[in-house]
Amino acid sequence: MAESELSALQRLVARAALVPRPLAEDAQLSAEATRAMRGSERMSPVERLDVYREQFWARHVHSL
Amino acid sequence: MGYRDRFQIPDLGVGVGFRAPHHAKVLGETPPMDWFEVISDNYLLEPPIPVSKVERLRDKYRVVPHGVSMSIGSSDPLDRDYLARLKRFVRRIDAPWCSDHLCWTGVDGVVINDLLPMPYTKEAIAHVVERVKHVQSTLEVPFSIENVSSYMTYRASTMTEWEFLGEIAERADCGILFDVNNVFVSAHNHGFDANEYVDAMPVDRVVQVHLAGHTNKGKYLLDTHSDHVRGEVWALYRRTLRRVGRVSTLIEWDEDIPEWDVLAAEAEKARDVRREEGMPWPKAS
Repeated sequence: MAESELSALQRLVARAALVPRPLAEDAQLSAEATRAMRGSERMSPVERLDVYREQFWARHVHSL
Repeated sequence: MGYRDRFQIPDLGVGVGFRAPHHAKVLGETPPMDWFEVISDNYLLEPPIPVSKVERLRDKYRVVPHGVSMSIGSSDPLDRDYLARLKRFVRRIDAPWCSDHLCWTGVDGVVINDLLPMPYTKEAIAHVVERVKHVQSTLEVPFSIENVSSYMTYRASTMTEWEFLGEIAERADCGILFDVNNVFVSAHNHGFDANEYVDAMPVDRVVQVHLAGHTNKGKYLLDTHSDHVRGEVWALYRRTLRRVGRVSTLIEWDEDIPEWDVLAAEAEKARDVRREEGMPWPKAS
């Protein structure tokens, strides 16, 4: 069965959230984020997705 | 008949979250407060945190449970064990309604522990509607979904967030927990008009309002619940009251939690707005 659009987007975001370094340093994920997310003059799609990655690791470190 | 009338959703006035730094004071001194919200997930853990504390709270105040990890929008199956435990908790504290967020928190069994935004698509609506119906029929109390703050949107989205939220609430026949601060934060982050969002809400479905503080991170606003409610959010709350009418309101303060008196004063500010809008609580008879 083909992967649904919803599943595909959620898997991309989950994969990005778990990366321990800024997404801008990952060419593959950056390209995927740019295809899937909207940006603005203030923030690129990669920067926007990176907010969630930063928050994931901030909570992770805080809980240690 | 509208949703709130059909389910006899009461206006509880203005409450605050029941947070650990205030447990002893609240349970020991019973300070004046209209109602409390508890994070239901804290009492569903294995081994569980004793529910007796919430039962003692319920003996003194009205208590409403609010969840953060149902993951109603995930493409993973709903966690039926989680729902069964939530149902037991909701019954045990005699909750008038319960709520969680319109978001997803993980996928493929991986928990991200964040309130992740949905793509605003017909596929996502159909997916969430069926799940909300299942949750409501399982819990047997009115269930509300809350709009989340967001920092990204998907190119796949074909509608606005408020159209997405409204259509799900209508088709699933559920309530809305309207977080005014989240509207303000997302409006800033994505460049839409927060007033347009407020004006589009199906007012009879709004069973509760959240107010909170946020943090300016420079390029974006972050929903931190770590400060006083900002002036712009109070203005948006006033606009919401004018549309929705009397509605239970809650101050969320979850980081840098202040002394009780500071938190209680923030709740009093919300009561002031209600009084100014002709919606005092308790309602004058």
